[in-house]
Amino acid sequence: MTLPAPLRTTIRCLAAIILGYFVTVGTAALAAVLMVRFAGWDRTDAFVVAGSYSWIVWVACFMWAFAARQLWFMLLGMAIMATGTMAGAKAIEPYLPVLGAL
Amino acid sequence: MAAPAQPDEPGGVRLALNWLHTWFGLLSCLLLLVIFWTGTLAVFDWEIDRWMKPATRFTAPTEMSIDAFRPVAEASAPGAEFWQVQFATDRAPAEFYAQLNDGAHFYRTIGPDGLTLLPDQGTYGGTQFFYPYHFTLNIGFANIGLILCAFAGIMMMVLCVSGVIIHRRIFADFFTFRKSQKSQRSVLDLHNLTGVLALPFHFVISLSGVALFSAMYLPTAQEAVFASDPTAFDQNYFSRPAAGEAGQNSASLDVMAEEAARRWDGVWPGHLRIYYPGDANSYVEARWPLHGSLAARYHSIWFDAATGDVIAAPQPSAASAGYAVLWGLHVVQFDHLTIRWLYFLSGLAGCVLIATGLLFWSQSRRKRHAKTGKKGAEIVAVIAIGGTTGLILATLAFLISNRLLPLDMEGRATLETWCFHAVWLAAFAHAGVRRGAAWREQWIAIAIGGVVAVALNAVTTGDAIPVAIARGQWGVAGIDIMLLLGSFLAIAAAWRMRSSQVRTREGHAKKFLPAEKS
Repeated sequence: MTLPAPLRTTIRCLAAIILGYFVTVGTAALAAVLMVRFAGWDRTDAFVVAGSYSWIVWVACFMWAFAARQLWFMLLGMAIMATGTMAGAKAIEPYLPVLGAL
Repeated sequence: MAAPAQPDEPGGVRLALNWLHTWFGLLSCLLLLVIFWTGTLAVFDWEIDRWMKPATRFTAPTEMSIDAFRPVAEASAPGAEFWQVQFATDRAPAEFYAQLNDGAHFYRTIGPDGLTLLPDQGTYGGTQFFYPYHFTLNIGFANIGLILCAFAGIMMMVLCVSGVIIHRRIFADFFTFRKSQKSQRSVLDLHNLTGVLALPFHFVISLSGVALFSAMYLPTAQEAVFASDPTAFDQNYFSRPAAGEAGQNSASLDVMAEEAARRWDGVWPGHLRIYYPGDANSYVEARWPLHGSLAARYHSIWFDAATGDVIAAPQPSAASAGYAVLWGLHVVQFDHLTIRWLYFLSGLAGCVLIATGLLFWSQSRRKRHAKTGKKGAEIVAVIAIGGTTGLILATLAFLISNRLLPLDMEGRATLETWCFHAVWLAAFAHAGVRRGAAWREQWIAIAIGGVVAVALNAVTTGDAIPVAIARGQWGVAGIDIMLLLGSFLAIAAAWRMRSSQVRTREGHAKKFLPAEKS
């Protein structure tokens, strides 16, 4: 299965921008939840730190989207990462300690 | 190694990433130029404020009594939601800021006696024009400006990484600058040189810039993390609503500032903010100052306005201290003149990097596009002119209009921003009409504009460079000196362009050259 080159380029661009963003969101959420669960940080600190550095994941997704030779593998990989990380974060989150407002 | 027509063409990862670098670079270049230029100016935003608000050019005493100032504050901003006093620093006098009930803002500089407000200076200056332009483009609607700037930040990181990967001889090219007759080669060398030299700066400044607003850009992640504990997000910030009935706010504000300083081992608060003044639920926030340390910490102590008791004093965690360093590295509010200048120079290197990338795109396609009748190279050349010399001209217009418009004029601050944007638009139009000749003409206009701005400052305020230095106004003198230096460099650029045009056209160029502007 070989799509015409301009279409493949469009898919790469969309994957980098859209899927890349959702992989970033998921990674930030999962990393934050894991830091609260296993490093004992409070949610605010964990979210702020995870959110700050998660942007590098988006940059990596851009590289992947354009370096990949197998488009389906790249698309599937990003989709699994985006949904998997978010699902993981949502599964662990209910077990975190509740502190409330100051 | 030219970019392929599509990333799928044979040639491997390097060529594919070259496609990414070429086209996403083109897509975001104008936005990046604006963000880097305004960010570079914002490094000296308080100094630009001094230049544009002549009445605030005095050495302010760092100590002032807020209790003594309180009647002035309450008289000038009655019924304010909150008002605050930002204490004077080495870079700026004390500032008064109030958020009024109708949502309007009220900014004034506090006079050297600590008891008066200076009249409105009728300008947004550096801190309210260039600084917010840097991350919102001054487009408030639906946060479009903020989102565009974040995307540009991501693009900058993508361009940095892809640029390094596609670059074969990164170490050798670090020492390469071919001052060649062929300007295309010089442009590419300059692109590589500034890119590699300031690479760590460019990457970290982009990452920290995007990171600062992470919570805004990742709402779904925030929802997921705080699902069962939503109020925890405000863990470090105390707040309570107004009671709606009058109360005694008799506790001394000066004592609160002293108490904060005592708890912070002698560090005086950066500002004191009084919420709901006169209300029974009124409270006071003393905020940690930004100028004393690299880390820009959001660290406060809250007091009850009626009793003066401490309500909340959360201890910053190690994680938030780490975040504060990232923040501090971006906003450069710490006092260190050498590092401040390095930020300024690195920012300029970023502007050169983006502009040369744009130029290279256009130059390397000019002949091919001319042959095939494509317009791309010409359009990008126009964008390059408007985005570099045009942006500098607009900045000069902003400064010059500030010295020409009368102080008591209605809507003066807005008119200054109109001057900025009108001149910028005109520069694009000029580039579209004059094409290649526009470079030289705009450099000449910049040279003239810089000298005019310095002369106007001397005439309208009396602060000629030696006078400003004698008065200790180094910020004002520094801006004047940079303007003159810029004028000199602009003349040099214009001269070089003239001579290279003459050379390449073997002496026949003179009749094609535009008449000298003066």
